[in-house]
Amino acid sequence: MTDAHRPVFEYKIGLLAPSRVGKSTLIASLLKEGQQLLNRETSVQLTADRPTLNRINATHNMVTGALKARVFEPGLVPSTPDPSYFRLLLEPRGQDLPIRFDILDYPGAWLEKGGNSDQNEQKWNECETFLSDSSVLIVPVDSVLLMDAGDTHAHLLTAHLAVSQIEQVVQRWAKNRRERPGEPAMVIFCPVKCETYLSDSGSLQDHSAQLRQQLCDQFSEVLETIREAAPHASVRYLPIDTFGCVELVSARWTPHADSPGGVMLMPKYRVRPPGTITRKGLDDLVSLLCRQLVEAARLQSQRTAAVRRVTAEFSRRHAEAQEGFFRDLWLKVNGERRRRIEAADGDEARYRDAEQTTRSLFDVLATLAERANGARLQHLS
Amino acid sequence: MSEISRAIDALLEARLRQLPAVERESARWKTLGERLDELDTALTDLRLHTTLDPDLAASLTVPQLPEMRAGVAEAADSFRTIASRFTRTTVNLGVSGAARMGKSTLLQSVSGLDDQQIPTGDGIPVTAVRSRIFHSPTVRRAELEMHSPESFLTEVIAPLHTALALATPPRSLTDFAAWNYPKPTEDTRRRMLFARLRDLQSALPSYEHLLTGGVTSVPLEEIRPYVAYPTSEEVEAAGPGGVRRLYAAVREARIECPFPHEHVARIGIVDLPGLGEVTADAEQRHVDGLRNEVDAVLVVKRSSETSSFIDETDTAGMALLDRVRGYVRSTGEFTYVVHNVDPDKPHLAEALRGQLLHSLNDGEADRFFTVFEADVRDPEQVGREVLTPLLTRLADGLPVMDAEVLSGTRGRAAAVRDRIRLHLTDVRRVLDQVGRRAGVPEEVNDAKADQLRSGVAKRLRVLVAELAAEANHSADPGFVQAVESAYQGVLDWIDDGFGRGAQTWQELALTRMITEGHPADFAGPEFNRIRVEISRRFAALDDFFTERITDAWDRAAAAVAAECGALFSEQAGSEEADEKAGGRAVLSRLAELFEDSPQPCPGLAAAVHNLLDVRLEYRTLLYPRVRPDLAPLNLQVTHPDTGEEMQHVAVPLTEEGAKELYGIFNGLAEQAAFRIQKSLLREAAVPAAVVHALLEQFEDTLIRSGTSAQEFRRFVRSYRNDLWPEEFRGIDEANSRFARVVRVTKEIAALTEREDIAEREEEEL
Repeated sequence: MTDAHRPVFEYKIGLLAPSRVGKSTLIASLLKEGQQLLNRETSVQLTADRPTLNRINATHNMVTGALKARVFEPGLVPSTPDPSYFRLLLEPRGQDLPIRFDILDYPGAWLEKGGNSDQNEQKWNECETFLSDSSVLIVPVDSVLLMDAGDTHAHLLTAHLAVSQIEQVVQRWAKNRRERPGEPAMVIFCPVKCETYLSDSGSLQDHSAQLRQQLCDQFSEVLETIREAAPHASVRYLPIDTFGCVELVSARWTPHADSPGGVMLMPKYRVRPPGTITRKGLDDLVSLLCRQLVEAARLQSQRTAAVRRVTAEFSRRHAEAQEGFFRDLWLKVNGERRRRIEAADGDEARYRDAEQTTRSLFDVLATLAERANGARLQHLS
Repeated sequence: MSEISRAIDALLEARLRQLPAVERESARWKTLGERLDELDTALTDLRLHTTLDPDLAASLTVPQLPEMRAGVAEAADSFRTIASRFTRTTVNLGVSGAARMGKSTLLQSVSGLDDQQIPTGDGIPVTAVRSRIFHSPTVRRAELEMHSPESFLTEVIAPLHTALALATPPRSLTDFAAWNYPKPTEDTRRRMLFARLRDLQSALPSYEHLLTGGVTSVPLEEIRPYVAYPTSEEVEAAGPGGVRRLYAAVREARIECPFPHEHVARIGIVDLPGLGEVTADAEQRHVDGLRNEVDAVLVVKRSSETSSFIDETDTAGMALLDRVRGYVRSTGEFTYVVHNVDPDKPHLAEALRGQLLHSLNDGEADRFFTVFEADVRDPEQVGREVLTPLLTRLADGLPVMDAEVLSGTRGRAAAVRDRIRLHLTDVRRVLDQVGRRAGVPEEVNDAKADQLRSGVAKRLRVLVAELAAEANHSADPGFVQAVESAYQGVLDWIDDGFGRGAQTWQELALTRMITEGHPADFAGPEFNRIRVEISRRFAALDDFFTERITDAWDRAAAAVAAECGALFSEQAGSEEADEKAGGRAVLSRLAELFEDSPQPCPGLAAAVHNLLDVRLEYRTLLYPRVRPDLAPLNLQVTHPDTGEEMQHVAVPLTEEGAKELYGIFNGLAEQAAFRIQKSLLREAAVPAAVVHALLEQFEDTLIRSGTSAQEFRRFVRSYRNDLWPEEFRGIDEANSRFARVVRVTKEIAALTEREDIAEREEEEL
């Protein structure tokens, strides 16, 4: 069996959020925690290439270091200046079945403004293509904006959440997905920085229902677009703690030249003692993504196996076909019959190989499915 | 119980039965006085009415009103006095007599007290304080009513000054202590009075501390210095330092002790100081105090070598008793003479007996005054010869005297009443003339009323529409501003180390934590303090509410006043300086006018009252909404899901720990303030909505209630002269000022009529 026949599983995961929502932080903690979780609980392991690993570690250290010093200020993580691709491999242990997936991080401002200059516009077009090709779209949403913007600035909320820009990208993605009904399609709405509003991570108030309601209200057009353009796509709701141990103290609209309406909502946090990081929701996101990707790989492998079975059957018939006494004698004399049999044997082996891969992926999925979902993960459609 | 006792008890009960009638009369006269006052102001009001004919206005007076008022006051006073006479639970006997006649001895014999309590002296006056003694089978005690410095100066010192014709009496005790009294003069009486003043002056330090104006209780055994002058032995023994004169501080003594006689259960004896002994002014005051306080008086008279005759002092004393008697006609039932007989000197007794017979009774025994003869030193004889016959007489005589007092008072009151009725007739005649001068057809009145009502309706409609527009805004900008400013105030306070300075706060926290060995002892009370303070600071929103509601009143008042012609023009003009009070004042006045209208407008009055009675308060309106936001500011917090009790102030007992604690407090307090602000802003539409609803309700009840049109017509009928003085000249019966005078005269007439009825009822009884 040659490399050319090896199954290749490659997927894209896109994030959709304006600047300062915390895309980079989310990616960093997703991978960091994801690795630990998968290594601990499943037979699947997550690996990153060297540059990806470096970027993840840099972001992670910045955030955790600050938290240990009990200083927590938004804007500590610098804005992402360029698009970067996080390349990762998901490998069922003991099997040579790598699933490659890429996550794209890009300056959130590009989403808001469609790139800023000619050069950026070119790059943003590439990003848009990546996003529309993604199997899974994650939409992180700033919970503080949803919950604490206040009535006086309610009219700026849609702009600050970049709802219409998100809708545009989602529209293109949904069309794309509709054209490939065999491929997975999933959108996950993730309210981030939500630990203030959910009582399961230590907050004294429980505003989970309001949070979900607010999100559905604000993103109603986006949800509608998905339902219309890609009815088969599954839509999930999963609030994710950023640190778990911080709580919003106050949020104030302060002047900010580049933001819609010339103001920005500045949150102020306190660290809830003892200041231990527990990111609720993140583990659910990790397993949800893994399951989705393995399932996608399994479906792809199943399709390949089906095609190969047909090929193998044809080759076998061709190899064993009786074409008349003299013709048969000739085929034997010049070795053609032997070649045909060899080809049929090869095709059958490839078919069995694909079958085996499908079975293996099914087993992996079964182990991943053993882990129960948390209460936070909900269906939105 | 003896027959006499039973008779006395029955008598006292009979008195009590009459009390309600007397009290009614007293109250009626008091009301009559108030009505006369009201008549006076109502007439003045009417006279001042701009549209009234000047000649008529001039005749709208009752010139004799002050005299009538005085007469009514006197009648009310008299009935009040009778009421107190009928309230008494004892029959009170006054004991009177000049010095040295044996008055104190008689008191001793009646009461069973001895020299220690009621001093007797040979030749010199000894009783310094008026006392009342009551029979009590079980108790022996004395209650002393003390002078205050003021009453001491006016009742004790001032009369002496007056009698001596000295300059203005001292105004303070210091004044009195420093007063320079001249040396003795030739005149015996003046010398005696001066001596008395100087005695009181030099002894001031001994009794000054007793001038409390209160009542104090003293055991009977210790009472003597409080009621008697010091004996000459005591004066000598005291030496140059001066003797104590505690009696000077006592205004009156009330003594209770068991009397040694039968049938005296409900007897009180009042010691009247020796008549003719003090100055004339003091005597009069004394007599006024006694008026109606005693039911009969015993005058003690003793024959002696020097004074066995009825002289001028006696005559003056008897005259004085006439004043005490008041309306009692039968002198003989009120005043009795006790002839104090010395069995060792029968010839002297004989001489006095003759004197009494001729001078008092015109030669016929007991013709005018009953004379009892007894040796007053002998209690048994006093009981037999004085008390028993006296009480027997009183059992019959007192009801007669009571009736005399009552009818005497009524007679005098009737004269006053007749005069009032007479003058009332004059007032009514003038009122008739005033009333006839004007008259407005009903159609005109009704048209004006409808015009007024629709005018007010239009303006209120506009106002309600404006308020609806304001209420439709999602947030009241004023409210948002008030919340923001309160929020900022809280943040500043938190920033300032919760009002203590960050450094000080941390030092304090550290000290307390180290002392108590735990952060909780500091944190608990501190959380409480912070919660209270944050709450208090947000309660400053009440200013905003007050402003809103005041503004609503102002606008409603302006809408109504604009249609009410001249009615509020004067009020609006005078209150320009204080516009805030303006709206409320105008509406209150409007409610008053509705209520006072001679033709009632209860619906309109209620509409205005409802508008004025509303309170907008942070405490009731918003507090329930923000209270949960303060919950995390507690030492123990409860997790909403698990119900687990948690503490969130576990910090090390170090400087670092204090700093950390400060950080925790800061975060929690700021968070609470932020959440309260957020909760409040969610209610930002409430104040405007409340005000809108309120005014809409006001408009509805004022304009669209079932009786609105009718009440507006009544209102216009009553006040059209005040509303549109240019259009409605002259005055008519419906005018409120006119109506008020009519109402008051009617009330006065009714009060005087009812008096007649009451009297007839009494007489029939």
